[in-house]
Amino acid sequence: MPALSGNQLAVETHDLRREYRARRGAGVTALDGVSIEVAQGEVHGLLGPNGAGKTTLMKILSTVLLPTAGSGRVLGHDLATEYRRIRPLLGIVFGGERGVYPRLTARQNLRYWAALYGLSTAAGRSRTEELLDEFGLAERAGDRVETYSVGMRQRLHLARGMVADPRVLLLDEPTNGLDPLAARQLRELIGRLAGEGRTVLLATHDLDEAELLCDRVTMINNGRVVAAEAPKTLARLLSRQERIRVRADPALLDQVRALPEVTEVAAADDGAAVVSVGSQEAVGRVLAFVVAAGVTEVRTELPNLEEVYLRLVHRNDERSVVAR
Amino acid sequence: MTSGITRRVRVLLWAARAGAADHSAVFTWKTWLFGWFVRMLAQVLFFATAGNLLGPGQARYLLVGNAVLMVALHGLFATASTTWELENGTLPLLVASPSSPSLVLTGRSLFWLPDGVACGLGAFLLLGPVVHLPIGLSAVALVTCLLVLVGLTTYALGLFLGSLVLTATDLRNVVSNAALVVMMALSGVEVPASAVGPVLGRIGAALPLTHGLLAIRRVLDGRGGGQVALLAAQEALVGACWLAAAVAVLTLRARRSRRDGAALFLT
Repeated sequence: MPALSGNQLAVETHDLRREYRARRGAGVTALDGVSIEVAQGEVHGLLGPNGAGKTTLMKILSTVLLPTAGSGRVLGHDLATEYRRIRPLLGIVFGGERGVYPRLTARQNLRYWAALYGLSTAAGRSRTEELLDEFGLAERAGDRVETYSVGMRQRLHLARGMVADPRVLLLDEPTNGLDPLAARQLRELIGRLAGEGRTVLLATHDLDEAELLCDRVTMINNGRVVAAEAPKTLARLLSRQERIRVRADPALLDQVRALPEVTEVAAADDGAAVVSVGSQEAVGRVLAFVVAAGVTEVRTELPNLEEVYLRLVHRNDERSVVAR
Repeated sequence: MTSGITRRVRVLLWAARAGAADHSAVFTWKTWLFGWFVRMLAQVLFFATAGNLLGPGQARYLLVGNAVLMVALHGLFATASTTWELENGTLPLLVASPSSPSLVLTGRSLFWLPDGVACGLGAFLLLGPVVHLPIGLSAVALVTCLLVLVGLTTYALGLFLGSLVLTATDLRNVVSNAALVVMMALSGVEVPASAVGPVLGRIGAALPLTHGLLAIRRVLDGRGGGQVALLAAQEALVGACWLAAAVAVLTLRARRSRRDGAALFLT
């Protein structure tokens, strides 16, 4: 991988907008003023429900689609005009089964893509063997890809994306359709690639995946950025200490439920109760109440990324409805 | 990084290899030899037999025309196989790579070429004696070269048609079959090109196969090399024009697809 230089951003977009023309009726706005910044060496998640605009953004960043308005740069090169300079620097991996030649072997696929990325015969050969080893495909390298499991194919996809040792890796839902074990193996591989100082942009709707792998996440809904922060910061932003986990008898929980500050008391998997409080100011009052009642096992906690995601997307949807 | 031309050649060869892998998944040597090849011979024999009923010399005329048509048929298969890239889901990745997708698509269906030439040459060698068509060794060499030329020129037409129907995959076989029938009618396969009138004759002259087939007929008639060379040059020129048109359409579609988000490279 070529050396990284300066403080230049790996990926930046400014007010990106992408509309698709429909044959009949109104066009569809897939992206509506998306601005993101991804630093070099960062693992950045693009989170959002299906149809949020993640894949359209990935297509624009991978230079196969032009934005309708706005601008973007990858490693300092303009997406619209300098796409030829960008292409050799990018590794692109789409999720799903498609994207490799099923009737070629893994070795042939990698040699082929090495040729497409301009590696010499010798360099292509050695890079191929390196990747086959690294991605655990060496033993079946001579078999046709059509005989591979979904997990093996996806590892091959990732290896293919790495063939030119790219500085920026675009991963569009790479664990889509994988069983949990294969998904975990792939996440470990992605984590390893990110650890090499590469910039990774990961589009996913798997929140655990984003929380596990990403330094920062951008949440997108209806083509707009809803939030962009580190996963933990997002959780804090949304509701610092809004939740109290408490282990108490049912009678006390009934009293807690009756407090005006409490919005919900739900049972947790471990037998404890999770008390949701309407505001940060009220947390102290509820804590004081349960401690005064003699409860010793009590703690405040942050919501996980899934809860943040659902709340932000829900809020954004509500705003969209109001705006209409 | 390697020089531009070496790199392009390597991409072309790898694309051809990917296509050949698809071909080998369809045929084993046994199914090809005893199924496909026999089917091709049967078609040529059918027309030659019909020629026997039409009068002296007609069987030979039809055998030569239909043997060369087998090569053209394989060239036109490129129309369908060009769309296989879309089915693999590799087109967006090709477009996003530093290489030209047009180059890949140009190499993608080259595997039809040896298949077609083998069928055409096999028809000459195995069925020629049936219609008393003696072919000397030097004629075989020259005919083989001309068959390769016809294979390449019709391949260029197939690629052009494939580039037009790249996203309308349900049309791929309709279009290539229509093209083949037009060539049968206008390129001197079943009747001399002069028999179709001046307007259709001009259209026929712009199609691949027409000049190449005439050159092969001249070789088999034992005519002079100058005339054959001129016809071969005309055939090559027609093929080059179709190839240029194919590359132009593919490049245009890639550019347009990037701008308007058409389904072409983005499915």
